Amino acid sequence: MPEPIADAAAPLIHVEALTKRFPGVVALDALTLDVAPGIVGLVGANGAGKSTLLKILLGLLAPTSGRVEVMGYVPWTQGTRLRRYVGYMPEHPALPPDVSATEFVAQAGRLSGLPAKAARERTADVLRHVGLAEERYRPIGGYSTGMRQRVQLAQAIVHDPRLLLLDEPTNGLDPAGRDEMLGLIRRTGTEFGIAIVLASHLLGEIEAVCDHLVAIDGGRLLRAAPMAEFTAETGILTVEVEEGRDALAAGLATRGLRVLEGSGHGDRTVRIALDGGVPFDVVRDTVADLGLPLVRVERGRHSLEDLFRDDLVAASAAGPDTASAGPTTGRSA
Amino acid sequence: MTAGGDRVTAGGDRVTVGPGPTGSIYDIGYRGYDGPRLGRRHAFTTLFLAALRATFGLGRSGRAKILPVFCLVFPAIMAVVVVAMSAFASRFGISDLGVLPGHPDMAGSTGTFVVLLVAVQAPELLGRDVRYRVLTLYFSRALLRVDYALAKLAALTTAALIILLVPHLILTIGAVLLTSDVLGALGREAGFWPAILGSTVVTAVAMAGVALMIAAFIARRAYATVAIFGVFIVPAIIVGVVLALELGGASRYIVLLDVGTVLDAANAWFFGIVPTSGVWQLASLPLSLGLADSIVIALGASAILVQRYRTITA
Repeated sequence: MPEPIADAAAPLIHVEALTKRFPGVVALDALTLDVAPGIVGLVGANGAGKSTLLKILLGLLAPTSGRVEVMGYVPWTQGTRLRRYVGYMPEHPALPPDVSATEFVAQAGRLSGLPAKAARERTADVLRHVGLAEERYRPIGGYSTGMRQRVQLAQAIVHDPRLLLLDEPTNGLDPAGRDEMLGLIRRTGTEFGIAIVLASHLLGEIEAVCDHLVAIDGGRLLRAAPMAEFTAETGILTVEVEEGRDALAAGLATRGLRVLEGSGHGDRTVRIALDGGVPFDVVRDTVADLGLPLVRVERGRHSLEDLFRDDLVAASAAGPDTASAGPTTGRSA
Repeated sequence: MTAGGDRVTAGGDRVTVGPGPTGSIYDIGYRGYDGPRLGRRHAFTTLFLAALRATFGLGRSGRAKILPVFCLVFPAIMAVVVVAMSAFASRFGISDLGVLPGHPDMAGSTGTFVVLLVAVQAPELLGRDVRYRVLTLYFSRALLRVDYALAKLAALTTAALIILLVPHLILTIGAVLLTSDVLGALGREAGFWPAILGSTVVTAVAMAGVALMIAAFIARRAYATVAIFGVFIVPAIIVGVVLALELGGASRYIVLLDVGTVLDAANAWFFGIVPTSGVWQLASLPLSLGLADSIVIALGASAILVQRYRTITA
């Protein structure tokens, strides 16, 4: 019988006042965070403490102080039992060149607790899922970067983990390879039902794949919230015309709309502040009356990048002490 | 079996084998795993067997098998020659077999091949995982850093033990088969085996431990191999020179740094004989000190190896 996980009701990840000091540098500074299952993006600049946090969650590094629990296990002291349920894909390539993907992934499965037969069967399964066909019997040394990253993902999910920790999984991939890898990760999180923490410094990746986001900077929590909050609609409507931009701006203003200074893209757009309702009819009528060639009418959205930049600015302006006093609980369900 | 990939079973049912009509593999979707999840011991055994296979070049290229096979077969051939010569001797009525090497003499000759094996294979077992950062992936699984180091030590020790024991086994089998007094031969041979096991175990742990300890600090394979040979050879030269100078006093204790000579003394202690190399006698120290030093070297090197892997960056 499979041994039940220590505490099935325990939060997936519970981090409380976690501090990690290395000689001369504080990598994590009183970080408090709860993470529930889903695809969670862990975002921050290089050196923000993402990799350190992942290694502590795995039990590879001891925290200097604070509390950490993953699925009810304390990683540093119960690591061997915890790691049977956790998959990890490190930041750097970590594959031996002289063995085949099949051999390596099967061994990885056994080392995570799978009996030999189950390890072989699941190896065939996961290598097919990550899209490695005939080449899986050849030594890894001859693989492309994209294929190696697939092997790294395969070794992380071969034992059907409950939690998958991915550290910069698209490192070194070209744009096509990056999209494929992100697609695989998305599938792993949704179809396979494996909870994922994806660390990345690339906001676009996080935005494309994750449903929740945790932003850290300098080892402190910047913000943790559902992705929708980061990319919510803004209160701005953008209207673009081929020509006659100024006439449109004047026309809209005379009909009682608040036209904002400055244009978004080039000199063909008018930005309107939305005070209450969305005045699509007024815009349509104005454009029609003036006989202007309309290109688009678009409701603005925050890009993740904008918000993250705003947060950083706000945080540094407010001083380091208040930055960590923000939301302390990432999400509740 | 009929053409087209269809198979008719005994009951007459047609079972389609191979790809379906479209030729594509039917995607059965992701399957979870509900079976048992084993723990550290399973992981340790997996690492141990993988390292043992790697030490003998199993599952590797033919080139990787050359050295291990040589180290295993050459001492065995020497033992077979000894058995054959003693068979000839008894056939021609030569009773004085004292000139032929026996169990106590095996360690000296086989030990050279063990040094060769550990010097080449210890860096192979450890260096690769450091150089290609594979350690990170090992440590992120259901095992401890200590388990990793001990599994490698156990594997290389086992390999050394196999190489050391095979010649003894051949001598024993030969002695029993070639005599008319089987029971007497069995009794004599059985008397040797406690000493054989004691001597080979100490030698195997010490040589594997020292080699892995050095390999744990030198990631580049070639440098590590040279360093291991150096540790087995250089002290022997220095010790020889120092003892030849007859400086007197405490200088004779320098012999305790020479792994080969110390193991030779331990072997002599187990068999109750005079050490085969003359170096130990020059130092005129008790054999028990040689045994004690061998054990200290074996355990000390193993402890340093384990400690190294507790702190190594991965």
